[in-house]
Parts: sequence; C-alpha cells; structure tokens
Amino acid sequence: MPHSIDLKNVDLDYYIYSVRAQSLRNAVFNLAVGGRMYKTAGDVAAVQALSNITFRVEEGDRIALVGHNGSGKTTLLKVIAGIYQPTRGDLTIDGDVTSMIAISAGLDMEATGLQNIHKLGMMRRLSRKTIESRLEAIAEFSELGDFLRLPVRTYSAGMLARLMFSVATEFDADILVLDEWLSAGDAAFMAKASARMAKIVDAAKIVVIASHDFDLIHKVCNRVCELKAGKIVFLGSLTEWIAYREAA
Amino acid sequence: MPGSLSAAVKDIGDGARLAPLWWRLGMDQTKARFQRSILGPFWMAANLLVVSFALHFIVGGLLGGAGSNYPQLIGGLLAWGLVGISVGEAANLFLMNGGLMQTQRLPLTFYVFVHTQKAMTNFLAQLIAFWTVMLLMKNFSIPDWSFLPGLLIVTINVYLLSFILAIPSTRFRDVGYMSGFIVQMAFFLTPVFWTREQMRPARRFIVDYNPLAHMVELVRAPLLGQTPPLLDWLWGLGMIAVLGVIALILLAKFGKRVVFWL
Repeated sequence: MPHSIDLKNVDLDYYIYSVRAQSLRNAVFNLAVGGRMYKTAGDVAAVQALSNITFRVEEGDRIALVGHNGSGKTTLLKVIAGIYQPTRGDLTIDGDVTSMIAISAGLDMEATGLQNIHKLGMMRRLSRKTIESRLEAIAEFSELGDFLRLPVRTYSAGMLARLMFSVATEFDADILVLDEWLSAGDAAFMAKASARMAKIVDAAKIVVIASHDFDLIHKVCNRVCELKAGKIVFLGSLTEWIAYREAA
Repeated sequence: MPGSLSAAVKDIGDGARLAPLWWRLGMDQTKARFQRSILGPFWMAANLLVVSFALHFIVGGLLGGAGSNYPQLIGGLLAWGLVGISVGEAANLFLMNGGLMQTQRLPLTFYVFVHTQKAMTNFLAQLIAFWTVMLLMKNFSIPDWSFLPGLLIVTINVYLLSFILAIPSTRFRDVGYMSGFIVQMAFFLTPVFWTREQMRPARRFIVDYNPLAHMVELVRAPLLGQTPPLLDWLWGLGMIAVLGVIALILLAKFGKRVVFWL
C-alpha cells in the first residue's frame, strides 16, 4: 500500500483559556509572529494557528516545513502526527506515523538512560526482544557510555538530545515527522546525526521535517512548504523554492 | 454528531487494543511512584493496615467493643481504595499525562485505562495485605463466587467515573479541587467504617441511594464470604449503563478538544 498524507482545507484553532482575551487582542493582532488571534466568548482567546492548509504528500516525498517562529510549523507537524485534530477540514493518512516532536517526550526523568530506552521503544509499540536487540547499537551511537546507568534527570540538554535522537532513529518508520529540536547536540554529534538522518530518511517512506537549517533542507528534502501566519505562502519543489527565495 | 460518535467508539476500541502498552505503562508508573523509597510498593499495603487499625481503635472506642467489626472495616477500606480514592485521583488524569498527550497520538481512553490499571494494581497489593491480616487473625473467609463478577462491575464503573470526572476537570481546574473534598465527604457518607444497621432508620437513605455504598458492598461482601444482595447488582449494572452513555457523549463531544485544555 503506498503511503500518503492528504490535507484538505485544514484549519486549526487553539483555544487559550483564562487569558484576558480583550486586553491581549490588541497587543497581538498585528504582530509578524504567530497566527491570527481573535476574540471568542468569555475568557477564552482563540488563535487560528493554521488556516486553509491543503497539500498532499506522496510516497518518497521528503517535505520541509519552513517559516518564522510561530508560523505554524510545529502545529502542522502535530496535526500530521495526529496529536491535534483539525478544527475544520479533512486529514487522511495512510501509514504508521512516527513523530519526534519534543525532546523530552515520554522520558521518565527518574529512570536511567537504559530504562528510558526501553520505555521509548515500548511507547513505539516495539517488542521487548526488538528493543533488547538494538540496545547496544543505541548505546554506542549515543556515546553516553556509563551515563546510561544514571537517572535521566542528571543529563544536560545535549545529552538528552543524544539519547532521544539515538532511540528515535534506531527503528524504521513509514512516515517520519520531525521537529527541529535536534540542534541541541554538540558539533561532533550533529555531524554524526545528520549522516544518520540521511540514512533513516532514505529508509522512511515519507518524511516531514520542520527546520530553519538550509543545509539540512538542501541535503534531505525534495519539497518545501513555507508557512506564514498559519497559511501556506509557498509549496513546491526544492529547486523552485531556492528560486523563490532568491526572487524575494 | 454521528461522525464524532463513531470516532468516540473507535477511540474506545483503539484504547482497549493497546492493552499491552497501558498495562506496562501503568506498572511503570506504579513502580516510579515508589522509587527511592525503602518499603517500595509495600507502602500501598501499609496504608491500608495503619488506617484500618487506627479507625478500628477509634470507632471501637466511640461505640464500644462491638461497635466496630474489624473484617467489615478493613474490607470496606480496601473497597473504598478502589471505588473512592482512585476516582478522586482521576481528576488529574489527563494533566498528569499532558507531556505524552502533546507529543504522541494515543486514544483518549488509553489514559483512562492506564489510570484504571494503576487503581487495580493498588487494589491487588492491598488485597494481599487484607488476606494476610485475615489469616493472621484467624478470621479468613474463602471469597464468595461473586467476587470476580462484582470486581468486574466495580472496575468498569471506576473506569467510567474516572473518565467522566477527568474531562471537565481538565477544562475547569476547579473540578479537581472540588473532587478532593467530595471524595472525603463521600467517605463519611458511605458505610465503610460503620454499617447500615448502626444508622438511624430515618437516615438510612444515605446508604440506600448512595451508588458508592453499593459499589463498596459489591467488593466487600464477597471478600467476607457473602453474596451481595440483588439490589447491589442492579445498582452496579444500572450505573454502568448510565455512566457509559454519559462517558460516550462526553467523548464524542469534547474528545478532540481535551488536548487543547492541557
């Protein structure tokens, strides 16, 4: 079965509770950052984070989501990952989605690195045996050594990134949804990580990645979707996007 | 509405199918709760034993030696842990799993399964303590055949009640605070450390119309070797029907909003 992601006129509203909607409204209305904010009843503010998003991703596509901070990249990733359901519009996904959205997602801070590898594998519905067989490879790639026997709460941000990335990329995925948290590792690890990334991106059927990193996009992706204030302002191939950027 | 109703039914099915995952996650969370403590999971048992001894001492003192029947009391506390306390803790169910909910797609019912699994684990640990004490006191009675069906009915009710409480308390945080004291109050209104017969007849309606009293009885009576009367079964089954409909409506109407309420 060919894998695909299909979004039709997808809108997503965030409802933010217990914010004084009125006082905030004027302040936020015309900012370059973020979606459109509007007032709803009572003490609830709504932010339209995505508006009328329509695109189709076919098997073999590696699509990059680009745009300013707060333009809706992560929100769109979360919609594709099934975490948020569209407020309006249709979303059809064929295939199993693996998402790496937040760096500490699903980590148990009190447990050791090794226990967390098990837990993360379990959350991806892998059998104990599969996890066990990859444990060594994960430990080796992360270069965390004996630190894997310490509770994760003692780790630095970079070490967490190493652990998460190593686990997340050890197992194959149909549809891979990645946010740009990767950059927490140091330079040596980043070099290693981008090589590994190229490998798993090759193995995945579809990759959706949010990034500001032009080099990464250039190396990994064949399509680009640029968002601005929750709307698509550009959707096309990588070469078209480069031309578009130069023209702008 | 039909669309969201079928989505709700699908959510329940998906949640149930993830049984291996919520089973392990529930076990993990229970273990994590007692991490770095020396007694570890024994705390669950210690809780039951200490409270039951203390209450027996107090109630016996208030009402005279015959006023407090220890097996009745400890059985009641054991049942209350499952019925009352775990429902009270359900208010924070989605908030506790907020990190996971915002990074991975899992059915909403999944988290309620995790919660119920933890409640059951706690119950089983306390059940072992209960039987141990009963054996030591030479007061052990072989559980009635109705123990398993009764437990099943109560567990389903705990699941549904937790679900019904968890959804509004994620949106309105006040519900969480409120449920804390309502559970405390319900503890006094439910015949856990007293019996229906001790209550003045004019006030026995507190027991007769208290759904939690019937839940407690469905668990306690079989443990003491008695079969609960038909009325308790009817209450148990009736509640499943009523709560099931409420839970389904809540899930269909608000299911996809909950993640935004975190």
